[in-house]
Amino acid sequence: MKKWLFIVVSLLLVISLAACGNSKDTGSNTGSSSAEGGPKGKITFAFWGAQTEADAIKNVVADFQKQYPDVQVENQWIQSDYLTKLQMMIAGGTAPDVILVSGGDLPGFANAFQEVNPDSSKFSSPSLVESMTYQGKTYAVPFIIKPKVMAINIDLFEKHNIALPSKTEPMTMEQFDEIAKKITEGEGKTKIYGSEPLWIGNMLYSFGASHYSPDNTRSTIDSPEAIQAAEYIISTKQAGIVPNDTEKQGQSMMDWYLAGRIGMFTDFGPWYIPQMAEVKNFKWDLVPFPGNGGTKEVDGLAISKTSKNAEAAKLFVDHLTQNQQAQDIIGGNKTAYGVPVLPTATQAFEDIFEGKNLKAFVLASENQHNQEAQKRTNEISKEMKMITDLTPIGIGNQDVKVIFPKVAENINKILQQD
Amino acid sequence: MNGIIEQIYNMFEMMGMPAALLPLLPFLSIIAVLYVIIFAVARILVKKKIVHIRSASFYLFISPWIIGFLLFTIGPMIFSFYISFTNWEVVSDPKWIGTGNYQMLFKDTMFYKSLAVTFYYTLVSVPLQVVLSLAIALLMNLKLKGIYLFRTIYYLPTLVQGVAQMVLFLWIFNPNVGLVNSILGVFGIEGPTWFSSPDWAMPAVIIMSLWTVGGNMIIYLAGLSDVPTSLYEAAEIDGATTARKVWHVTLPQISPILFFNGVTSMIGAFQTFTQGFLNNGGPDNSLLFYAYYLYQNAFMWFKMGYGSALAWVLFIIILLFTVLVFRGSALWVYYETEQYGGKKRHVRKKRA
Amino acid sequence: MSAKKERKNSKTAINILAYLVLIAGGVAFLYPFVWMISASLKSLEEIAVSGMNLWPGEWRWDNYVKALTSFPFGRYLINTLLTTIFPIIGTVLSCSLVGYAFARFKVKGSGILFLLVLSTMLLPGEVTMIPQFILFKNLGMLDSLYPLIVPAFFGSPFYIFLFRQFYSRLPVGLEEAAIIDGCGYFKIWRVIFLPLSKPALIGVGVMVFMGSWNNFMGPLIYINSDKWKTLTLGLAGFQGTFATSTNLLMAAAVVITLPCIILFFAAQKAFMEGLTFSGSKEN
Repeated sequence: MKKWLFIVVSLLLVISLAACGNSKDTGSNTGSSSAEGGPKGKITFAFWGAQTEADAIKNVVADFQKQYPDVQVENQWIQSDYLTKLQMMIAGGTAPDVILVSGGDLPGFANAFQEVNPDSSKFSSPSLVESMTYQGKTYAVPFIIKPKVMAINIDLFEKHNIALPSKTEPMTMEQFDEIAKKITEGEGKTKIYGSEPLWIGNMLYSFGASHYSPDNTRSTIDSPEAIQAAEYIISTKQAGIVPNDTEKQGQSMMDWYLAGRIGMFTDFGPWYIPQMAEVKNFKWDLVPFPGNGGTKEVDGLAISKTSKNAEAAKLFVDHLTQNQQAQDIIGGNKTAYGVPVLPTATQAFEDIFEGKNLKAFVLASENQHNQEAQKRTNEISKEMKMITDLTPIGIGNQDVKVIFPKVAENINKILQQD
Repeated sequence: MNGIIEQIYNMFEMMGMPAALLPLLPFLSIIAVLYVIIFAVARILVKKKIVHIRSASFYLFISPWIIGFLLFTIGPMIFSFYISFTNWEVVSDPKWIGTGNYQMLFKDTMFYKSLAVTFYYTLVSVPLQVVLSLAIALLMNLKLKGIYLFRTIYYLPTLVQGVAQMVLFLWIFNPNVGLVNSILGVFGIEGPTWFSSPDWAMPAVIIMSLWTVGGNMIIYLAGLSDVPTSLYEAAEIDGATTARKVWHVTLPQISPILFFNGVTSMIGAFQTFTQGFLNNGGPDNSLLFYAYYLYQNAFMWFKMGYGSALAWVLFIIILLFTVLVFRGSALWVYYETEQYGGKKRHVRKKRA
Repeated sequence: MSAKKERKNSKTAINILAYLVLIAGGVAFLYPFVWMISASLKSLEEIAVSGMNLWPGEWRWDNYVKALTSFPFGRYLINTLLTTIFPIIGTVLSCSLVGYAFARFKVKGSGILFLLVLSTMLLPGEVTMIPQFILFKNLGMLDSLYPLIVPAFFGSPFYIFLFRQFYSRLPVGLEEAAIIDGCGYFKIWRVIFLPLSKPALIGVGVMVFMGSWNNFMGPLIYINSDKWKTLTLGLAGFQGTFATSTNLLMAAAVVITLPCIILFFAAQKAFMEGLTFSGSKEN
């Protein structure tokens, strides 16, 4: 029995030693007290993102700390499964004070957020606050915008004597189709394609369609425009101007573009910009999304309903979203985190890449359609998956004219749940 | 933090304990007090001859599990059982709806689809895994030169972390440039499109699962290395061939381990989640594993109540199968401790 | 004499056959890792065009530098080690103890209790995630490594089952002599059963190591601040929602996998030791 006790005691010792060795930086950094009367204390701030994106956000937070040493911000960078972890923290009563949320996810979580009243005129477009609004109430302040543009391989354009597209005006779908056909050449593993496989979520808008009716109560995926968009996508596959399903399986189409195998990459978000620094074997540039399609994702900062330090949280949110310096830092970050929401800060974003048309992103951040959001977006995407499963847009062979109305019907059922 | 825990926490904090240890100390104190009580009670019971020392020792031995069970398992289980009778969006309070979730389940076509997918996977992959890992383990147990290296190589795919593993296997199954189709191409066979085909996505996942039989192999190896060499020597004197030695000595000796691997592989297969999750359910829901469908409901669609109901139905299904397997096991699993009973039953069956 | 020779011949034949099978299978099992190494040394563009070609055109060793400097590698490594070593100790101790009791004590109620142990394995973990999170919150352990360590000391059904299966294979008479000598049950476990189950101990140790080393969901759920994060979370940082740096991901994955390979290779020697040990005892 003695030996057993000995084992237990020595084990505890080891644990404590190991844990102690690890605890050196646990002490809270008590900032010097400079400002009087302002909010004080600790707040937690949760955000998602890859390593580089997280670093960009941490920079802004550090800047805030410098200006407001009385408020301690604890970063909670959640590497993956953001929404799952968020739900856990909310259910466990440990919701972060400030939460980064995308316009698409906002309706589902609105119940956990405080209502806010941001001044819409401060931001570059009224659509930004709209994106943070659900059933007439605003739950977050816009922080950063992630629009879609099209990246082009200039070398391929020049090779086929194609005039370079306008940097400010979106090309029409007819022009897009024509260029894509000209660029496509070759066979097998070295074939060059006009474009990457087109995504219905982007193309809907190029053809003037949308997901839902303006009041968000009904699916409009069965509209003639939506079916037209679908038929166009199928035609690009049949014409062989985009890689087919087997070719793209498990492959990153972006990597194909980087390797010079794709002439026009339509689904180009700001997150791809850092990789472009490495492109040396061809000239590239950015132009608006063809047919003015695609959607922009607006990410906002929400304050949790259960926040114990809502005052400090509000100060933090206001600073990050409306302070010139903060927006300059996040927008001008080398990792191109996104387009700033302050119109005066967009220049910082354009300056990231000397000589490239980053202005296309800025224009899109103002003009592009908002990501359409529903409380049941994730459940609806299960129905949208039917489109790729059953029609030639994906791997199926059924007629889009038959399937789209069915999908719309199913989505309407989901919408009626609440 | 709980009130009592917080008080103990504050006490330790005042004593100047290191910050990194603070989260552990309150818990540790409670466990320590608990054990003092348990030992005292056990001693009294044994002394007064209310409980035999054998029983008392048994319960003391399993006490870590009992405490862990009461603390970490039973609470969460009851909670999820309660939630399965509610409508809970997680971001708002749960609403009691009685058996509504369970009723909905029977009308849900996706529920049946996910069950079918899971059964398909379990019934095909588990026998394959058990047989293949046993075959490999038998090979690995031969005293060949360089066998250490081979064992490591065969265990390698198991070691790769999940995120990287899926990226890797998507490449291996790429229809144009992947390993699998390239090998098939050598034999003049045009390989299928694997993960983009509703018919071939599941076979791809099953083949994938065979790459990671290393885990089972380890358990078999541990079992094989325990088989007394005297048994083999006796068989050799009787002039047994290798095949007969495997059949008459090895298999009966490691049958408990075989049984263990079979049961746990089955349970694991029923709970398969990652392959569904990383492929978003696969083309035409061909990889809509039950556990993934459950997760979709619970965490993606704000239907925690329905997700919990799904979990309990899965629990019952696995339980039924496990009980069945256990019932069947008496016919072929050979325990030293139950030697006589087991053999008798075996003999009886043969005569019948 | 000739019979012996014949047997020897058949043995070499079996060995040669075994080698052939092992090598053929070995190529298949080695390929994924070779592909990982190859991808970790290429640029993204090259991965996209190289197809089956494993040999990098341009060796990008700086992928490794980039991968390992983009997150605090040392810190994450220490955390990973802590959340690996303690669960191994905890699991091996608690599960062999509990497994021993279930295998060798036929006490009233032990059968039902064992079924209870197994049944806890059957409920999918996804639903108990939230209540467990709330539990650890109440214990004041959130955002520390303890939720990843403490439960291991209370046994896990899988390994309890495994140890029970091992101990129930051992001969019936094993403890009888010791009981006559007046040994306590605890001493019997420690002196007789624990040493005899060395291969199982090592096997379980290896499996717990792999499980904890690669644990992803646990750290993701319980850890918020960077100072307690583990290597797997660092790995996830390379996978964005849209842009994945496959080469950096693979570079980090290779580095994270290497210790596992080394450990496994080393643990096998002990495996073999266990074999000769129990063998000589029988003789």
